[in-house]
Amino acid sequence: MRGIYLCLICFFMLSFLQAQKRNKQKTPPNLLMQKVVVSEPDEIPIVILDPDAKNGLEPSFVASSLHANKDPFYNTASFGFAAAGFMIKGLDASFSQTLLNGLPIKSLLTGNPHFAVYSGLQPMMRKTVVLDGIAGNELSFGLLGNTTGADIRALVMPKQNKIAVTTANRAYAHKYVVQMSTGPLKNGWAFAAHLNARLASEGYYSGCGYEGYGYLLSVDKKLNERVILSLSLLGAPIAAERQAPVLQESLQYFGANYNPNWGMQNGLKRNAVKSTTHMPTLIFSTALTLPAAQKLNFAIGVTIGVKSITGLDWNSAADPRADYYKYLPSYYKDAALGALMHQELLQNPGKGQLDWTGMYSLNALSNEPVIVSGNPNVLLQKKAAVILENRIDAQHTLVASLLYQSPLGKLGLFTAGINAQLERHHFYKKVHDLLGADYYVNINQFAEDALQIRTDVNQFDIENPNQIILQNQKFGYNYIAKFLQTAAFLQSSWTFARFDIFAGLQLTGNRFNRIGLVKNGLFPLQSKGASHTYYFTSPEAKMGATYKLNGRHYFALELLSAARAPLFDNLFVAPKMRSTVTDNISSEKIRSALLGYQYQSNFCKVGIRAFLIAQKDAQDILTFYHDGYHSFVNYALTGINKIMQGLETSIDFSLHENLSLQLIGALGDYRFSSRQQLVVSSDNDAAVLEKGIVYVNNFKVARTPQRAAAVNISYRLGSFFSIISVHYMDKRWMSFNPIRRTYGATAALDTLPVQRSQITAQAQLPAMFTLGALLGQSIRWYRVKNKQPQTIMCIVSLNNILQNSPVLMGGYEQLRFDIAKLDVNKFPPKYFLGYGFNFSATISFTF
Amino acid sequence: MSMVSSSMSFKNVFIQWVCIFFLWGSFCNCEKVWDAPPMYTGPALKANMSIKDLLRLHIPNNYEKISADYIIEGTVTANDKTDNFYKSIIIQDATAAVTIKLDGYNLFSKYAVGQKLGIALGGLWLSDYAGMTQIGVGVDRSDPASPFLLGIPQPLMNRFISLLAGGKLMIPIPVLATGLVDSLKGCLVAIDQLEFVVSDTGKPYSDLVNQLPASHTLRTCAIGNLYLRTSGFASFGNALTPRGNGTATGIYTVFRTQKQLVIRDTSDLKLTGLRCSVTGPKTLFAEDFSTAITDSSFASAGYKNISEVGGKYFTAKKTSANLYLEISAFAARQNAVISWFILPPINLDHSANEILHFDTKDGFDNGAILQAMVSTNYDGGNSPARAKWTLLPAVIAKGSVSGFAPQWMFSNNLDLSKFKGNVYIAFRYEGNDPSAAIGKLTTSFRLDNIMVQGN
Repeated sequence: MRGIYLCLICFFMLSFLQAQKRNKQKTPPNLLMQKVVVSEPDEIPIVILDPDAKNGLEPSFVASSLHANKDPFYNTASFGFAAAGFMIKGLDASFSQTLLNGLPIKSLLTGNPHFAVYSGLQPMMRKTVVLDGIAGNELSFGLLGNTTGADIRALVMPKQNKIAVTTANRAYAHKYVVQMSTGPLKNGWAFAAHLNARLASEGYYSGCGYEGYGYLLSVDKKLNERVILSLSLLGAPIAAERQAPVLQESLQYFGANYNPNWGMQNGLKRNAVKSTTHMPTLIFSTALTLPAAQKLNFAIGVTIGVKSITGLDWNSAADPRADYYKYLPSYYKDAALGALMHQELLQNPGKGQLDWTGMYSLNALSNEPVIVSGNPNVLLQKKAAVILENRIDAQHTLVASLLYQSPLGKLGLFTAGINAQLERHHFYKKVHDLLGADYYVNINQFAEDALQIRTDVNQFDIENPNQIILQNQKFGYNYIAKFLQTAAFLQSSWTFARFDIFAGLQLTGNRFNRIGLVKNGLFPLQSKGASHTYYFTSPEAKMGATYKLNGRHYFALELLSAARAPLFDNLFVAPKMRSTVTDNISSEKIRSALLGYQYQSNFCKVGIRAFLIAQKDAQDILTFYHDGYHSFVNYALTGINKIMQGLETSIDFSLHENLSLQLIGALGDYRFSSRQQLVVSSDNDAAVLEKGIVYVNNFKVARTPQRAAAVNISYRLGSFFSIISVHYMDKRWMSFNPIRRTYGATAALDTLPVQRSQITAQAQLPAMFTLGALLGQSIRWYRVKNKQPQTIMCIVSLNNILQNSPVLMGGYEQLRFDIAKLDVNKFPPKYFLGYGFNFSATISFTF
Repeated sequence: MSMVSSSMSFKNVFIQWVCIFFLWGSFCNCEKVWDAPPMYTGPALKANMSIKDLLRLHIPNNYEKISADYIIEGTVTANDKTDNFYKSIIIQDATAAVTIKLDGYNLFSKYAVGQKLGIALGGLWLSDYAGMTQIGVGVDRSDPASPFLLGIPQPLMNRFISLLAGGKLMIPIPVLATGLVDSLKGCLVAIDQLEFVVSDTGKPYSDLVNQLPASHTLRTCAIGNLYLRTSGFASFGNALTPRGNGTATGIYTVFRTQKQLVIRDTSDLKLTGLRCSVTGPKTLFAEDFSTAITDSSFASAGYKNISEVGGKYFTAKKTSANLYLEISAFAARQNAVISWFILPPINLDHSANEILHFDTKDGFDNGAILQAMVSTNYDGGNSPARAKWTLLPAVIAKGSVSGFAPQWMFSNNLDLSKFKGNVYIAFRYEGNDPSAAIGKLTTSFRLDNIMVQGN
């Protein structure tokens, strides 16, 4: 390994020497390295809450890119296939990145681009490059997925004002946009600003209101020909009510639009799960042009914001969730009782929704008066059995980035960069609504089973035992996660007559730790105070070449070897309660090879890419109620290896001056390639209950379709354009429950009339067909007064036209499993609902 | 020119935006204030039969589906608050009581003791378990040899059960242990003059570790055929049964032919009086030092006479034929004098309402102290200060500054009933005899007639 690095360093030194020479030979452009300005980016509608997500705050299906580049494959993959949760090359969002003015906008907690910072501000990212993979990336070292580099500086925007109104049936029903940019003024200043509002009293999903705003203000000052100073302030305050994953059985009783998260209260739909985010970000950047065409870009940004999500919490009450498994007929094995439940649900479809009246009534029945300490005059009468809690993640991020570029003669380009990111998350819970009661008590009801061991185990805070909690007061867990990431890279690329080559090195250092702020009864010694700090160093090396046979045929090869630090949530076993970590701490190793071919003629363009990506030694932690141990457990999985291999093809025929046909195909084989190591520990006392192996070698990677194809027909006449698309997505696998693939889960098979395959086989979702259309018409004229162009543009986008009701976009096996009777139907799979027919229509006026 | 116009237009447009933004803010109703909906009570059910009439419909060991639209009313007398009643509540009216099986947890939040309920019986089933009539929602016959009644599942509870206004706590029916007749089955009763048999006192109510129930025998002064039955899941299972005699409130149940009492919580047992098992108090320990050797440091098997510091011991003395112990720091010539006199261990497991009393007399009092203390963790060794001692509120003689007091001072009856197992009783003297003439604490104390009694 060290030898390879030494070779690469020599390679860089040679490239410096070469930079002094000059070469006047003309070279054909490399079309495999796409760098495009996107015209009118649409928005990705997919943001779905993943109940398995560690803190419940991060949407799981964030599309890997916000913009498509001109490559027809990426265009279709980012938009058309997104309806089925398609992930390019099977890679999740953590393999993509977004840069604003050169500054990486990402969360070290999740590893993903920090979408909440710039949500809804895409109209201001007109000057955006989308770079695929690791080749020819002038903005950063690059990742296996996309790098979206948006330039939101006022200077780069044309002098223009714009008003747009959208009506849609997606997350929001209406969107209003007002924006303006002055362009470069003569005194060297430039201003740009944007405001938007996205609103719905009920969006696509039942009972899901939406209230989102976005703002961006950029101010630039060009000091002289060499120095530009830029300041941007952006943010998007959004409150969104959420759709829950659903059971097949619920859909049967409560309809295809079923959402168990809401219930009627005083004649209105009230949703218990509402996320609120606002991540105001200030970015200062400066671009310096140095002698000999060298460039230096420095950016520093700060984000101070809060993400939160509400949900029900209860103590001494029946489970208030309407789709709790005991509230559905299938739970009742007795035929008569099952029939009675069946009839009850048919007669009262409202039983599938939350019973707010019941929850308020339960609280109103309480009669447990307490005196608030320190104030003997306040007598609180009613103790809450059910409350709405608010889980909060208060974040601070400081990130700085320095990028240096220098031409290496006429042929080459050298890029080097360093960046550092400091991030802090404060996780805690607050009482959001006492639902008519007067107080709540800071008690951990799940620890009560362990009460015989010590009398204070059920305390969330033993320094304040039996604390009385009022509205908006903190309770439950309370801890801080701190991160520091530093990275440095250097890379060079050369463009020769027949060959383009590139190579690069990057070194990333990560450190993080947990700081507990309360001492809880279960783990008095591990819960409060700073944990050990964990350090990881991750080297990466890449190289690649393109052979240009002639102006028509291009062949490319790209290689990457990389390491990645584990995520905080995959290292700490139960960070809400304690600072214990998994036994086998390891960095993830990634190897990737990509072969590309591109053909181009006037009639047709063909692109084919074959890739092989191997991920090794990843880890994961799952927490759930274990029916065998009768308690919550933590499953720590290590040694997770994956292989992603496949083919991406696109063929683009220009049939006529105005008519083109695109054929897109993605054929993937994304699977786990190891048996994972499992350590089961009790959530209540951290005792290791079991160690074992999860037999999932060759199981499929879930969520993304592994086979997808599309046909797009575009027709354009003057200022009218239209695209009709048909998409086919298949080999959609469900997320599997590792517990069902252990020795322990199948041990009872001999004594029960259950087939092994019923327990261990991985389930698949049906293939999906969608039909979509995009129609647009623009009208442009020039003002008489100052010859300024003015444009009215109408765009209508219709997706999934043939499907009236929501579709099953993804699914997962519940982690809870009936280990005694091996009844897989007791806790059946849950499904994510995706949009059926959806549309948006926009009219914009640019002046 | 163009610079001016563009910055002008910027200014205008900017002002417009600011206006628009604030307009938006005005309809940004970010958090709706939700009104509390009125309480859910369910349909206002009115009884059309008594619980006693309902019980008459049931044939023992049978399952009957109630098809008529019968309605009963009753007040909740027991629920799952302490988990001693599991997945069931008991309701009672003026005539009788019945168990309702409910397939859910935390029923007590909704069906609190004292809450009045109306039950629409149409569609429900009657059955019995070991002699107790129950209402349920169906019969599980998956094992034909042992069918059982199914509880009403959570989502169906509101369909059959309504909350009625006007509920108040049911007054227990006063009854003697001999008067427990079948018509009282399931009713909340208060039985007087009860106590546990000696072998069942001081025992955990049930075995929470193994989650096993336990039965403890309760009896009046003569009879012993009523059992206190406690579930292995009861939250008070680790508490210990009391040793006294008194009134027990609870639900009267039968298990086949065995009569049982099931309590809601330990506060249902008010067994604080003297046991009726023996007449008068029984002496557990007595010492009057009549066999001690005069003018020597007291020594006898089981006793401890320890000088922690200062070299002074409790010494036997004799005045007009009465032997007693005496201690003083006088002439010790030490800056601190601490001495212990500890009685042999006394077992309190087979008695109730134990008391300690003794007599003291002081002489030349200048401020030294004598304390009476009790410990359950003293190891019997020579370092009593390492054990945990509880100071008893004894009356100790004091104030005789010149010479000895003429009369002995009675310590009062000191309650030991909260201690159990082997206890040690210690008398601790603390004084000093520094070389300086001022600040001496050398009071002499005499100690006699130590007695522990119980019943």
